[in-house]
Amino acid sequence: MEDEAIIALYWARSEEAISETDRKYGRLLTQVARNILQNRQDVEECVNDSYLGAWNAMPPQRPALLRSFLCRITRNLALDRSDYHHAAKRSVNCTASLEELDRLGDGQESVEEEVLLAQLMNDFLAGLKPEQRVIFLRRYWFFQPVGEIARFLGWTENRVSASLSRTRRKLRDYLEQEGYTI
Amino acid sequence: MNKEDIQRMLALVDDRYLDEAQDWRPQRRRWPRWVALAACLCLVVGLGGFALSQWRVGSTNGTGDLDSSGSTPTSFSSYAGPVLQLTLGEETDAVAARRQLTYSLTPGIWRQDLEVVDGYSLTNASEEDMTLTVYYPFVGTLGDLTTPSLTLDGEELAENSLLAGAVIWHQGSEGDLGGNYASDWEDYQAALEDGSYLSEAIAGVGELTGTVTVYWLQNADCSAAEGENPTLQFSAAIDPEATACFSYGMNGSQWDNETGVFGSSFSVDEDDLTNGSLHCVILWGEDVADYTLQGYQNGGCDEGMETEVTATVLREETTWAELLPRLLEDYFSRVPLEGGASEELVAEAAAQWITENRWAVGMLDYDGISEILSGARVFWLEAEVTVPAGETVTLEAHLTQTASYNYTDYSDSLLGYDLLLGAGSNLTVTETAVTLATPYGDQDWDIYAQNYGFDLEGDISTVTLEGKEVHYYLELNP
Repeated sequence: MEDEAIIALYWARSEEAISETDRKYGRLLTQVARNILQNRQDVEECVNDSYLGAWNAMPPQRPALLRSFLCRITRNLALDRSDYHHAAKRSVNCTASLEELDRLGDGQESVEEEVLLAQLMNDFLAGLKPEQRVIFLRRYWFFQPVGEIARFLGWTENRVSASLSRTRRKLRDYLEQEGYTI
Repeated sequence: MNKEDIQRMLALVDDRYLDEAQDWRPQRRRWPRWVALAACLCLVVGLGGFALSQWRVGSTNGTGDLDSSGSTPTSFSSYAGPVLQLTLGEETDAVAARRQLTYSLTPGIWRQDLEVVDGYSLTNASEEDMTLTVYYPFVGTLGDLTTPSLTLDGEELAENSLLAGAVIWHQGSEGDLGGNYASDWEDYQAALEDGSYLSEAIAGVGELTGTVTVYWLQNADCSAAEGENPTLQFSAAIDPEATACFSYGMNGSQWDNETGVFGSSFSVDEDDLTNGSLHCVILWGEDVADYTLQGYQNGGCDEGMETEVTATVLREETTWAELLPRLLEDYFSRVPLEGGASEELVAEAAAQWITENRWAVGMLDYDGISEILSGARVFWLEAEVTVPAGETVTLEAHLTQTASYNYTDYSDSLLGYDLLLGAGSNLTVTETAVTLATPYGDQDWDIYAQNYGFDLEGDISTVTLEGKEVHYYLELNP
């Protein structure tokens, strides 16, 4: 079923929206949650909660890209469930991914405006080569293990790690250039 | 800006980049026409084999009721392979077996594994002692191998050889372009039933003979290059009948069917000079008369995108016996081999992959080793067993059977466990009994589908299989 038709089901308050979402995106959302959570029951509940989240969000929302919209809901729920301060619930892979990003810095300044943060990140991503951008987001947004990214690209793990390292450096330089202390 | 801000920034990534991250596909090599033709031939052969296996299955099952529970077996997207049947090095009428399988669930919340004890009471009806070579088959991958243990009358058989068969491919169906690993019990049935799969594993690949010429590309330098992804291409004209091309440490390959020119290329990293990466083109058979090195701005290696990338070329004449261990050592120094497979088994599988030579330019590390490690295959434990005249000995295999499951229904996926009887085994089995055990006391078997005839409410946890079927399935609710 086309995304537009699934969204229409949500707007019509048809419960079929949930089953169609599960049929089309259940596997993907499970993967997103599984990259973050290590417990199968948590994964299951997180994906189910995602459907509830989508049900509550549509209407009023009518996402242009349903897949990414759903992924975002699942990711947020999984991260909430894992809780940054309760790493035992988080998968080893996700913890490693977060720790890699932590190496960017631990300064004191905070940016208040979310719009500004979004603009910063999206501008940074726009300046990357597509391949670098894909690797960066697969690792740090989708928490995909380095080994899986390497297999996807047909690269060695070392090469993927090197690319990630370079992109992290670029992000640090970019933020410093924009006047942020990190 | 602190780490929480970084996380908040990431959470606000535009949807179009998230879509891109999921849809983006790495650049693949261009396929020569003869590879497409070969793929078509494989499809024709595969479809023929599939039709044949369907016909055979129908014949075996006859008109009997396939499904005693009234349900049908699930087609799993992640298929773990079946439990298989012991076979002998040489067929004999003097020894027959009664088989007792015991399934028990491993404790733990995931409950994905089934502990299986596969016992054979081997009776020698002749008046002479019989020493048998037995082969116990099991399904696994070289990248994550768990080997069963064998016992004889309760004593562990310590000195077993381990054999590996070739990767088993899905037999295919209409619309399927092939290239998928085995995905149901029929794939294993088709591979095993005429005995040639085991024979080939016993025979091994043998030494790879012939001249191997290696062009090592060293000291690659892209400091003067333009473009987003400086790439160095090695290209040369070859006669495909006389030369097979392989590569290691290369990212892409190209083939021009009209001119017979192949290319093999790699992205030159800024740190390529220092990270010790190996890059080479390997020609098996006739060497090339000449070659060209050309830098490009990106991995497309397209005309008009040339730029300056340099490297030193070192030509070496060698043999596969000398070269292959060096390349595997380099590979496993970067990505350590996990599980119980030995590097010798992997080397044997790599040699097999090389002889199949299904690629215009076989990328030994990316195509080869990944396929070698992740492709499901049948392994055999080989052992010598003596059965005294007129007596019975009990051989038991203790194995962990992982579950088949569905990615799409992961949240509530069924867990499936298959048993395949016969499948090329030459051992006469007079009776097969299967027991569901609950050794940990607090387990419950929540059976969704089966064709064994278990009735736990009716207190039937042991059944004798009547031999009408070759495929038995057991599916549990997680």
